Amino acid sequence: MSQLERGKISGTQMVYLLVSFAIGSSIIIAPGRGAGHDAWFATIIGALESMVWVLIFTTLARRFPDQTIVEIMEVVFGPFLGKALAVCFVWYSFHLCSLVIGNFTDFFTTVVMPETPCIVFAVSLVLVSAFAVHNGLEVIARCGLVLLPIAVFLIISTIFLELNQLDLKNFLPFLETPWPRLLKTAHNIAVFPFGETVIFGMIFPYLNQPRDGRSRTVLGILLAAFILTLLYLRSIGVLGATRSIATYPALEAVKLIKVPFLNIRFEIIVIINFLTLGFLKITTLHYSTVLGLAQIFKFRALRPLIIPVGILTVLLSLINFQGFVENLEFSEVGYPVYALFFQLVIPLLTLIVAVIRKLPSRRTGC
Amino acid sequence: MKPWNKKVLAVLLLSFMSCAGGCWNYRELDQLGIVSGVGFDLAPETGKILLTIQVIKPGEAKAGGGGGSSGGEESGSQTRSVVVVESTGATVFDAVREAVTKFSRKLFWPHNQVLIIGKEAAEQGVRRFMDFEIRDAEPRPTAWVMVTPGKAGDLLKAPGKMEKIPAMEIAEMLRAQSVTSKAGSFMVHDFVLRLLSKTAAPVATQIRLNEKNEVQLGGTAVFIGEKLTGFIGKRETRGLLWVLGKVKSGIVTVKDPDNKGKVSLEVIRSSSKIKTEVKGDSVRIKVTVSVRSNVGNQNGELDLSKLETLKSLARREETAIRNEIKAALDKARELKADIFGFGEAVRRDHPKAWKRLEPRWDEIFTELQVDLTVKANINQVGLIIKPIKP
Repeated sequence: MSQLERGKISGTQMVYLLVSFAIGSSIIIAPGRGAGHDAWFATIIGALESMVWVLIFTTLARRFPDQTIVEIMEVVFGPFLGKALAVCFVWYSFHLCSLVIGNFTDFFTTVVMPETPCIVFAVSLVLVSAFAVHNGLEVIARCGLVLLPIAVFLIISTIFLELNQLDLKNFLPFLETPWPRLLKTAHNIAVFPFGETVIFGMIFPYLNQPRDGRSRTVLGILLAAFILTLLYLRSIGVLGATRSIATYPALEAVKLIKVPFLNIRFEIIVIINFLTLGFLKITTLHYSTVLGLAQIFKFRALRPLIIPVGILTVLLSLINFQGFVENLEFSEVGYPVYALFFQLVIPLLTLIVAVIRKLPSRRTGC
Repeated sequence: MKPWNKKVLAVLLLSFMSCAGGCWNYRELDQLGIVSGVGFDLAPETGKILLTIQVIKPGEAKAGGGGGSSGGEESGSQTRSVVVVESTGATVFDAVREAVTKFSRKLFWPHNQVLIIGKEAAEQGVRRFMDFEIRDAEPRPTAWVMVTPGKAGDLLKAPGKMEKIPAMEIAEMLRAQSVTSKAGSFMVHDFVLRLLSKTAAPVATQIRLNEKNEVQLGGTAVFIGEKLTGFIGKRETRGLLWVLGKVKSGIVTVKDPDNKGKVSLEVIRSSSKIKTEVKGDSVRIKVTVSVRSNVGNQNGELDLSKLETLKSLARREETAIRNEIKAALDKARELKADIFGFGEAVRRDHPKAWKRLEPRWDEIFTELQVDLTVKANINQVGLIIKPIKP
């Protein structure tokens, strides 16, 4: 077992981290756009769909309880092909990290500070995440323990503040969206955010009980799906048809909160949630990229990789997309296919080859 | 903590300080022109928008805000606490930025309370105004939408009576309208929701300047699609609000059973339910309105200690309310505008039939069968039970 990460996290900590990871950016991006007012239902289907490949990559992880998914690939495919596939996987983590940072900079330049250059937000986010990665997995996991309850509390309080604006008629007619479109949207939700938890393949060996990986992942996805569904129910109930034209529905929904006699604006709650949970997502991805690279190239420590990876992530986030529209098109047309390669194809292939080669043999497993 | 860690921490904290010092486009209060109200009209040049913006002068609005105001300077201070700026442009945003050529401060929108659209501009379509209101990050979707039969600019130039800021006064008046429910209040969000519907007609509060040059609310402007088609009066407006379940309070005056005077009933709360029935191509709408009210005042000699009297008053109230709703319905049919959102109700209840009905909804709506049921209950009679009579 590698000595790159000596920390151990508990199963509960991983659940917190995984929930934050799954709702981190979808809290604001609202992936269920195609399904109109049935988006909440698409979320449930999407979560169930993602269970299929959760089972695949967790089965793989259970066969190799002491190795990260990158190490597993090397064992299964041999040094050459294994490294190539591992590089693909690390690329996914790296690219995803830059995409999430891109979501942030889009959001901030649209909503909060339109004239500030993107790079300012990207750099400040990556600096914080680099600091967290430097401190190791245990610290990241503990951040999750602190930040997720705050975010959930804020989400629930906005729901309560908006109960009087909630119009149940907005959910009718149930399942107005035709099935093909609903399933397509559900698939979009399955790959973003739920399927992205495949990244946790880098974290399973550092659990106190690596065999808990599967149950914790499933639990985490179910919890995240529950929170996301709640959020969707809120924004659909409050916004109705205007949700489908909004760039950031969650923000629009919170704008409508009216507290008598107080002139308080609640958008900051959405921004806080997005910042805290998004920070955890970025940090997890930054961490898994650094760890994966270190394992591929046999580094003895993570530290020399943290800042370079951070800089590259920032640069990639700046050249990824011109703006929100391009990002939207990618996430609806390209990403569902692109992500499937990393979320489903690579783990499935690895699993099949591992089964055929009867790996791990007694010798490689410790 | 290791010394190396401390160094990293110090560098990080120092670098964050450089970011926290200010934002790129920071603006202080003394550089802002806080918009309190905005009016949309057509500019004399064809195809352009004339924007009238009421901007708060923070210093003036605050000075003399508390304590006894001396009568002499009153009218002066009201006009001085706001500035009205006019500018023209091809789009709203164009006009907003154009305002800077006549005005020293950059306009700041989040505190905008009211949005008034002039009749001519509304007849040409309001989508272009609403687009700015919800696309831009500054304006709030909670501002009130109003339409005036005249020029929107004139309303924003009219001086307020109570408040220092006339637009705030309009917003307050609108809030106070719930005691009569003769003017509905519609936020930008509600309005846009109707604009997004294929059949429901957008509605907005009617506002106008009366003969004495006072701002007056009452009635409703009705749109088809994005274009204004007409206004409905106060009575019809309340009819509309009954169906929408938006009557929070109001006075229903009925003749007393002895025909000696009139009784005013104060509505405490009301609710409505819309049910739809589709058989082939015929659509039937069932509207049930439940009202609870108290006796507010009578100018006859009615003995209100008898339950029977109250019941007969309740029946009369039901008829009065039903007539108001009928008036609204007739007017809506005349305008061919589905102001009640019956189409949306059918879509919700019968999604399959709706696909067939939707293209012809205009015709269907005009000959729609609407069953009205009004259930009124009179609960309290006030502090005296018997009339003031020897």
